[in-house]
Amino acid sequence: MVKVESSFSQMFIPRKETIRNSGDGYAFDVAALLAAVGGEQMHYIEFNSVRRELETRQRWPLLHLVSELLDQPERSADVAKPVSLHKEGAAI
Amino acid sequence: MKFIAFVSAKGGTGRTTLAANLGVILARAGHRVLALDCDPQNALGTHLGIPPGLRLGIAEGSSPDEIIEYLTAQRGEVPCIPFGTRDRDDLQQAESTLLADSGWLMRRVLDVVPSGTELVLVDTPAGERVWTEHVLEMANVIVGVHLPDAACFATLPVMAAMLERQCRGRELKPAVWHVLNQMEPRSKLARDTEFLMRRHLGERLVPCPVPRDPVVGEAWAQQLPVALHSPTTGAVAALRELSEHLLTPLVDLQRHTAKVCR
Amino acid sequence: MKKAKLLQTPSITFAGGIARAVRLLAMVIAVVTLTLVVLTPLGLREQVSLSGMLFLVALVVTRSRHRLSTLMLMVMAITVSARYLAWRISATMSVESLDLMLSAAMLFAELYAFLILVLGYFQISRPIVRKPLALPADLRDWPAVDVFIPTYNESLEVVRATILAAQTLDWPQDKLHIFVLDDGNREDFQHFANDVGVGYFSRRDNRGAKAGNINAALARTNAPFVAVFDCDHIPTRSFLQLTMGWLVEDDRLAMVQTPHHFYSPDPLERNLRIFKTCPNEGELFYGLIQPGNDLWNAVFFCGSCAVIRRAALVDVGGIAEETVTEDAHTALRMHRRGWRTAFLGVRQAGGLATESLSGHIRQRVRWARGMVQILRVDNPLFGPGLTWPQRLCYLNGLLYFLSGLPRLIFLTAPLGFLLLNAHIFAAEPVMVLAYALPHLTFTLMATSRIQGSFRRSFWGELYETVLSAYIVLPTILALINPRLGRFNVTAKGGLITTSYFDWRIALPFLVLFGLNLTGIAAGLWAASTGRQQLDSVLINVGWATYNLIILSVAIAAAFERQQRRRHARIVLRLPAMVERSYGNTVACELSDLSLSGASLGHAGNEIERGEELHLTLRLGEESLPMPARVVSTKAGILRLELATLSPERERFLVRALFCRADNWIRWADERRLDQPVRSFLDISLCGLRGLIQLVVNSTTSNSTISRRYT
Repeated sequence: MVKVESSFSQMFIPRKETIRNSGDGYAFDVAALLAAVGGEQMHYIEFNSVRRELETRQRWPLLHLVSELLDQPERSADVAKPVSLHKEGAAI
Repeated sequence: MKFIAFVSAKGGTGRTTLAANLGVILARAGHRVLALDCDPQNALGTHLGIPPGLRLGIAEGSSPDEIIEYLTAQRGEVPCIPFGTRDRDDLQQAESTLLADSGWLMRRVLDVVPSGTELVLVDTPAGERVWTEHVLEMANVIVGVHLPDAACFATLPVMAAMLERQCRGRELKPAVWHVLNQMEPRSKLARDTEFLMRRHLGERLVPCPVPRDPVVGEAWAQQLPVALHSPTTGAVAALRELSEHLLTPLVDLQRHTAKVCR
Repeated sequence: MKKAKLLQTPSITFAGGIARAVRLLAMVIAVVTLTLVVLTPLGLREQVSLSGMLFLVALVVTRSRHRLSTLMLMVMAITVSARYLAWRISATMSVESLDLMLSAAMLFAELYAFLILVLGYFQISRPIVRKPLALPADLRDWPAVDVFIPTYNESLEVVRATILAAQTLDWPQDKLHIFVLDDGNREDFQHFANDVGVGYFSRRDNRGAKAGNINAALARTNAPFVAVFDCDHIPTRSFLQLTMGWLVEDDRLAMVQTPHHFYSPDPLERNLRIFKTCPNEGELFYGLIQPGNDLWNAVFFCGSCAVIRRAALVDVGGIAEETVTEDAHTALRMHRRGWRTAFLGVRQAGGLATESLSGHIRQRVRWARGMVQILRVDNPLFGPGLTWPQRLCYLNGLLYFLSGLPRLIFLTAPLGFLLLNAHIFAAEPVMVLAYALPHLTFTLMATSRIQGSFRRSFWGELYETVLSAYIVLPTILALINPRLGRFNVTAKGGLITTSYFDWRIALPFLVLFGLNLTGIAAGLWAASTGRQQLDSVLINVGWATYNLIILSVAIAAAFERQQRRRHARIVLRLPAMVERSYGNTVACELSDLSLSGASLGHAGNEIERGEELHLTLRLGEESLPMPARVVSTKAGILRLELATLSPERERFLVRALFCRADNWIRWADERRLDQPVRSFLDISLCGLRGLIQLVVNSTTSNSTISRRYT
């Protein structure tokens, strides 16, 4: 949680350590922004991404069908992450 | 010592090439790497200086001493244990051994692995073969390799199911990453497939895809790792990024507390 | 009380009537004491001792960065300055007519400066650092927003990025309506709007200029909220989700204003080469003054980068058309009707600064005229609906633009003595020093402490100096008759094709410089021949020298530097890949990007000048290759020129350059705190460079002389 001070000398100067190098990965720009301005409790919705996904799925019906499979709830819990990650297993 | 398994649901994804070249990059970054071929195609070694047709390997009848001797004699940057050249009957026999004795592969590997090895990069056959099962059982990190095309995308559910099945019930669950190989940014289908893969795989899909580049094949044909043949190519940069990604603990990614919903 | 936490102000509660009485008593005692301190005349020795003591106290107090010590410093500075003024009025006004006239003029300027100072201290006494508020969880409760992009004579090249960026705002598509308000009735705009799928409005006349334009559009739309962007202010994708939360939560909130951020240097920054190393003129306003206004509910509309509630606009009859600063006037009217306003100090849009110093001045002259018009037609001191803090904040904002005459007086005051032998101070020179030095020192210290990170010391003087000669007449005229004067639009997006010295715009600075220089020469001559006392001469010569320094910087700012690029480059680190014609890829690192080109660091040297290749940029989940041509490969930097882009690619590039949510937040990262002495040296150096350039420019034969840019 970023502490933003109310003082004469600061205006949203973000703390470096909470900001990851944005540009690699989606939505990290939003995460970086929210971390910098103290809006972590906000629930940001990526309408552009949603729109793009709809367009893409309309363009390629096969991909749409496979996506539906992947979206299904009984698979969903671990489809994207087939295994839950244990901290130990993640580090090399 | 950690095992990194390279898997894919279909053939032709470039899994073997990727594993070999990644091994070289990791070795150049200072890690003690061992390459292990568990794919009956026996192609891993061709990237790493092993003559094709060599009658030696993890699945061959070779004794541990023979393998160790061969390993110490290797000149390349990454020592490699090939699969071995077996005909169909021998292969079936080896596979039934594996089915009967689940710890056989692990024991064999532990018998021959050079001391001080940090990372063992293991190549597996495409799909869900017996070899894949066993490799996955001992893996600490699993890397799924995909092509940015519709056929590969269609196998995502299969791969997901396979991974889930293999890793269910394991106490120490492995880290799973996915990487997109042979990316062609100029193809709209490739771009769209990448996009959808990111939507589904989320952070599991490594940020940088490995680009399709003719030098990769050229390097192979010259029996050189790409990092040596063309160090400035984008493929090498992407592999380097992939190697850093594999080595970064996952905790870093979860530091973002902002909720981003799609 | 989530909102209170997000506003981060202390709650002002009195713990009972007794505490209240005690506080009142303390305040009365403090005021009486201060008045005594201010009004007691002291002899030289006592004055010096008092000032010295206060100075030592100030030095100790400023070691701490606590708010309390800042307040103490403010009080001390006001006290010292008030002492000075009291002494001025009581002891230094001469009886001789010329002296009296000049002395009175000077006193007027000093009183003005003091008033602005005190009002300013009040205005920014407790700036609010407002955080964004979350929107409702149910999307059905999110309101519709009309996005207006008014334009008049700017070229499509400038406006298209804004339009494309507006389309990528993260907001439900059925609730986002974008309109280009084209007062220029241009076909290419209409075609573009139709091609990309945004609304297009035009009018037969352009009555009321931008205000009339927006009002006409208001009549043709109906969303409950209106977001306004100047045609070159490009919003980030998160603009609406960051600002709308406050508007949805509080239905008496009429507006949320965000900072105007410029990613290209303004003329002063460019010509003086201080881009990014020194805060620019706008940073004080958006960094401190508007957050200060936020506490008093006095945030005013700045014409762009804001969202306004339609009901509030309807309530005040639309955007005000009576003055040329329609934005501030509209906010004033809304405040009179009891609406609240808010400021969110997060940079969520990026725009182009004005191109040349003359354009820069023209824009500010318009603001000055407009603000003075407001002072005349809708004076915030009078009239219903405003709280006293609001009146004072508006007053300060409006009075600031009357600084033309006072600044000119300061710039010419020493000449009264040096050239005309008139005495502005009917007092001993050493007494003058004893009173004036503390006054100046404390003002400097307090100002540096309060606003140093947003504006370095002495730069305020420079900004005022540059403007002074130009706003004097328009503001006085507007004061006399507010109906005079037309609206003139600021030209945006021009290109300065060659470096040149703008003699025309620099004329007043040169004249003033010459006068001060003559004064110094005359004074030194008079002192050497014994016609004047040395100490008086020295004080005035010192003052004139200070004027020379500031004026030399103003002159330096008139050296327009050539802009070699069609589009401003933005420093950006994005993953990038270059693909050559055979499919070979090259690893590279993007170092900067613009709408027309890119610079990349790369390894290897196979790529040749003139080669055609594809640059693939990666933006979040997406990537897109752009065709490009290699312009240079010098020093390991690959410089590419992008080909004309398809709409899909153009939109992607705009997104990569301007629309990422965190695009502008790290702009001010490496700022150090203000050090007045250091700042003075820096500014003197700028001035010196300018003078040297001037001498060189006027003596070399192939210099370009007064060629105005087209």
